[in-house]
Amino acid sequence: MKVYKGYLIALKRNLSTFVLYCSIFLAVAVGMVRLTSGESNPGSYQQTRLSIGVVDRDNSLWSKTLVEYLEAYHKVSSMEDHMDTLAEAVYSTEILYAVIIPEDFLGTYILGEQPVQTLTESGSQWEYYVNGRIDSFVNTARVCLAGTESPEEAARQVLETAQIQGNVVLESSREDLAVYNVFRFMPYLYFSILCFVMGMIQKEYQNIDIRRRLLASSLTLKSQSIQSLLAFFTIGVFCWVLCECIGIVTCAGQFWASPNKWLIVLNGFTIMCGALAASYFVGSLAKTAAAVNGMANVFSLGFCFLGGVFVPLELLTGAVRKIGQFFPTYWYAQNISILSFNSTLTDSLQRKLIQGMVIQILFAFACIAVALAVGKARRQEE
Amino acid sequence: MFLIMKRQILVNIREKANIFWTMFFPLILATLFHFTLGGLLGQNEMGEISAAFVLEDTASSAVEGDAFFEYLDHLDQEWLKLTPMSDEEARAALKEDEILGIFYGGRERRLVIGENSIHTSMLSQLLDIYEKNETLLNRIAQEHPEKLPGAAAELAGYRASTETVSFGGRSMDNVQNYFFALIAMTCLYGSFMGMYNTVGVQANTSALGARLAAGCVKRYESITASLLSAWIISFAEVAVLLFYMDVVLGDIDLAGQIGRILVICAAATLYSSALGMVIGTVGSLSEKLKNGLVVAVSMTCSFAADLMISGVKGAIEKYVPLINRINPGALTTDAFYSVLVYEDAERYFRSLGLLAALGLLLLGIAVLSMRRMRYESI
Repeated sequence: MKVYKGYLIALKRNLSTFVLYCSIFLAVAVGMVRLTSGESNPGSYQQTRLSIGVVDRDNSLWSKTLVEYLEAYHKVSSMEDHMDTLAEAVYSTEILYAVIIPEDFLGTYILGEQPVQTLTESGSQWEYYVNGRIDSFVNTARVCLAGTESPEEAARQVLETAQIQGNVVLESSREDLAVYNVFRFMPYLYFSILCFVMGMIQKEYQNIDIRRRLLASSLTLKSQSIQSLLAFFTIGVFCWVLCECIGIVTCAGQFWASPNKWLIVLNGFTIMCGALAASYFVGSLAKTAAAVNGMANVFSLGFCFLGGVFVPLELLTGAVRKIGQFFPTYWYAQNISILSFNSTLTDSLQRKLIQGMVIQILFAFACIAVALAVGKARRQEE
Repeated sequence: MFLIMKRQILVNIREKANIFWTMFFPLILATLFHFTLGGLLGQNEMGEISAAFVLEDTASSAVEGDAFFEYLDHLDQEWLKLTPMSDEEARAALKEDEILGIFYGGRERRLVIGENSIHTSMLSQLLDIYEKNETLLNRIAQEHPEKLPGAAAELAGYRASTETVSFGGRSMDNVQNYFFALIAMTCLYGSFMGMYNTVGVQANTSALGARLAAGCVKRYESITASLLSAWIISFAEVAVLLFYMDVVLGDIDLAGQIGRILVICAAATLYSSALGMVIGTVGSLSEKLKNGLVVAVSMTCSFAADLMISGVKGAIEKYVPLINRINPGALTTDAFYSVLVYEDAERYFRSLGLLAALGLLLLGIAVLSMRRMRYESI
């Protein structure tokens, strides 16, 4: 098992790269979980609360009533009365919507015909959403002013209406956002680690001197190939255990509560096989360390971008989704989405799941076959 | 001097790994951004929201005549597509994601939704407004019955009371910031050229440098030529990227602003080349180590300019704004913002001035540290 041992010794020397990528992934995964912690499914209806900025130029009873009214529905913050500041806050999504309450708000805007100026991404969902709320305020204020004795009483009534809410029922299936956000990024980890580390080791074995020495030994070509594939598989399994453990530790509670936890791990195994095969392909083809570096970057980034790892599949356009279907990452992303958002797997979902895993394995076989064919052709050339 | 410059340009172009990382890698990233983030551009745009209306617990099954249905049907909201359905049909449609919610009319008005989102919140807002208006009129009828006709008349005149302000820029979509950050990163990659060229003219770091030092070429000439060649190549690479992103991919729209954008890119590449030169002159570190230093600096600057995660630049601006004033990545994205998003001449000239001034300062440092280098032995 000389070839096999050689691979493991070479891996030991590249352990720092291994650790580096695991640390990066851990940081990204923890960040993602923290960023999405507010999106967890509460089990009941919750109205979307947006960050809104308010500039109060009127400072009157009605402007304060509007601010209080909006606070019942959104996160409201007072903003500096400066267009540049407002535009930047909207662009950087510090706030999604800004409303400028003008002077003489009651006379000119509530009772008059002038519209209130707002600032947001034109044509966006939040424009329609918050506009609807402000329209409701202005119209309710008008009704209350016509139906009560004093402006103070009208303002109080308007605020009381903010407590009235319709009966809304949420009927939804299970949503494991934490599990989805952590395990969604696994392919990037597998492709990065394996293509960089294993690609580099495999490239060393393509060195003409090493190949000649191996050819001169008593080892048959078949034995060499089997040993090298076995070494790849051993390192792949080690990488799989490590990465999946990192993923599980990052979202332990949600993972153990998931009814599909073992399928998630199995899905990780199939994408690891795909990444492993890709690294074998990279190492067999590349002639220099720079080429391994470039190919590994292009493979890992390209597969993850086009396969719906970095950007969820539903946000990819039709053409990209079609192209993405050629990559194992697409099928991994589809499977992880099924496993994270469904508590029970119907027959059609199970079929989709198995289909996805089989395609990932087939991709791995295709990569290895091409790499072996290229290796053979190269040997014949020499 | 021009001969040395020409030679440096040729050396840089023939270095395949160098050209891959500084030109082809950004082009590949731009393509990937186009196919993935391009789908996110306009994702916040308001689309049509489909909902079903189901009438319950009434003698008649016709939805016409139900006050709640009439209210929803006559709303002046082009985004709502309301379809009357039976309960079974509606539930099946909700499960298949064909609709986002089911409004139930009749005795017990309610809304059934499948997920918490801004779209379902908009649907619930419609139900809220209906419930509010009904409660309000009942209350006025009880407390001030004489004022009920006036209040009802005001309610009948329900109208939109908001107007969105338009700016000089074209789009406020935050996703385009990733494209700006990518251009900033490519400008920053000019530092690789600056570093390689500096290493190439120093006698203690390269054989080529030793030959130049031994020759009759004046020191300032070789330094100037090395900077100019690094600057020209990195600027040309950024120009190629801009052309690709504007004309081929169409992710950014430079129409009418090309002059101001090129000036910014020229200043940013000057800064980056000078930064690379400074790193290239740091002690007698190996080229590999200097390369690692350039990677670390350019990646940190790109990260701080929102290339990887949106919001980093904003957080820095809030707590340590000085970093944004010296980070070439942040200065470049700021300048792009002030030209392509929100017309802000003050910010544009501030970014441009800082890029140029800091670039010249770094260049001065690099020249000062190289000008009188003498070697006892190499």
